[in-house]
Amino acid sequence: MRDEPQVVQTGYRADDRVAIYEMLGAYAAAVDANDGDALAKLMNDTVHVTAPATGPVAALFAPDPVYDGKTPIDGPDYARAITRNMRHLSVTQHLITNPRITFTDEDGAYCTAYLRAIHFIGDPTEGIAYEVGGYYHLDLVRVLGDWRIAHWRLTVTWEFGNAQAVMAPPI
Amino acid sequence: MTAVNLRTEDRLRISQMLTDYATALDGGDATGLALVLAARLRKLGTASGSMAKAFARDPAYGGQTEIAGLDFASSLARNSRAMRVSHHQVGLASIGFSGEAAARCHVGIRAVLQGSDSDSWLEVGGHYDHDLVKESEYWRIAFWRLDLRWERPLLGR
Repeated sequence: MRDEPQVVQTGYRADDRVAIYEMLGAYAAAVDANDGDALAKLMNDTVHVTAPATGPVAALFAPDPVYDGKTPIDGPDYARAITRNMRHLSVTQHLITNPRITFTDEDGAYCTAYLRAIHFIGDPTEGIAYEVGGYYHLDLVRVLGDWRIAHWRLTVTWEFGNAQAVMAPPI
Repeated sequence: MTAVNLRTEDRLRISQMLTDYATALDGGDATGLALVLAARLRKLGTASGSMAKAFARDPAYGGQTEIAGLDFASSLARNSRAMRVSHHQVGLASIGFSGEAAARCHVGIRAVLQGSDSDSWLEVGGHYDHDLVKESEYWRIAFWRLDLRWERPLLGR
């Protein structure tokens, strides 16, 4: 069972929902632009990370070799780790759809969304592709009016293509 | 980072407009497309691979020009009707407002295409990056930008 938070519904809150949709759109744009600074602005100061523990996709989201998965890590550092692990890719596209949001309190929310992400190395019209599909499960907090990611979880349910070929070379 | 300028109703209307665009495009519906385009608009389509060649052949997509909205809608619809399959999936939009009646939106797009005279399927991906204007309560595309960044054949069908 995932470590999902206790959910308390506190009204529809259309403005907050739209702000969270915007944050998810900005997240996808930042990752695909390989813009670690833009991605860092969407992270809480500290974040928990629950990435796929096994399989080739785990390497793309490895925050730090010593991260134990239990203690929070520096959010902006994690954002830059994501873009660093994808720096060698010629094109990525993260298509996020079907967001579902429940509010846990005035400044907290839990969001799930579908993800379809394709990663290319080399010529994206002829190159090697690796694609994954799955779900984000995000704990969000509102800080100074902005919704940010406090717990980042990714569940990958399928993958397709040549994963090893698109893995980042060692730094 | 400053708080997002919400303008909830405008954002919902823009998201709906993007969905309407994709639906009209896939349906080859020129009337529906014309509803989401400004009376005159600029357009800029860029791509790589086989889609770049297709853009070069078809001025409806490629290059930067100014065009009447009705003419552009007709071209898009005609091209779509020539396909056996046209299926466009749009992601969540990132929207920035630059005035009461002006905005820019960035949204990912993936499309599955099959030509009417071909058994081959192609999937393409990239993003739209449109300038929008608000006319009455309707948001319309004033500068249509499409950047297709990847493509791949779909096998095993």
